[in-house]
Amino acid sequence: MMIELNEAESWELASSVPVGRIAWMSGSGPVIVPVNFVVHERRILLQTSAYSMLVREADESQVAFEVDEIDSVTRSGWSVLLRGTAHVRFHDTLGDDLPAVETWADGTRRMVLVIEVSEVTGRRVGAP
Amino acid sequence: MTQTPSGDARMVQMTPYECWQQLDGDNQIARVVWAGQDGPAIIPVNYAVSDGALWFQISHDSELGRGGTGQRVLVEVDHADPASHAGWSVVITGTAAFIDAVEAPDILRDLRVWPSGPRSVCVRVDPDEVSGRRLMPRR
Repeated sequence: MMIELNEAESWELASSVPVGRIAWMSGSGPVIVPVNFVVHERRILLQTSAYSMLVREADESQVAFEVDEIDSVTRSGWSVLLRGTAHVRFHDTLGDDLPAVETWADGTRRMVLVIEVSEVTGRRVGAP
Repeated sequence: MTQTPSGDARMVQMTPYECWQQLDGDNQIARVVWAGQDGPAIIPVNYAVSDGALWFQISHDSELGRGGTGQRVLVEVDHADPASHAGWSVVITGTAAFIDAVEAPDILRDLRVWPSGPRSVCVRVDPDEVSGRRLMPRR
């Protein structure tokens, strides 16, 4: 059984997990990396360092972002896919109301990667 | 164990052996990534490992299905533990070959395929490259 989720449901589920995966096109093909993120005003925010591959390669380009929560035993869960354009900004230029990203990895992360989302699709799967 | 260029001492590269150990779990979910018409595209799939290759199924009329056999893909499998802020991620790079269902290994027929559908294509990814990294628990 598979059910398409609407945009509001997809955003709500996407906001409920701490880790997603961002994919972008590098010079040698696509790249995918798990990252911590927050949802803010229908945008995805990540925190990264100025020297990361993400900043060098994904700025001002089309990216895809995937989140899911699937129980492998019961085969039930959901997945949400977001596509849009990535913009790299300095954290202090984005205003005080910006939610903080709780980043699991250590290291200084002064840059924010903002995904302006243009397409959201989600689906729920589960035992009927 | 070597450090990645990120400079984070908790982030370590996994050996190919460790990567395959992680890929071999039962009923795991992978995310397949490829160069779509409008930037990178991702779909989650159930997969199986057989004869050194990864196998999964997709729908004929999905974006990947419409792209045809022989596309370059990444297959990513990961695990995250919110309690310890630890996790790992393994990425296989290879070519996605569309295989006739009768030639697919039994393990794919036994797989709890997600998503499933009547018009599905069997896909085999022969790895060219396997890499993985692990974020160690915070002390």
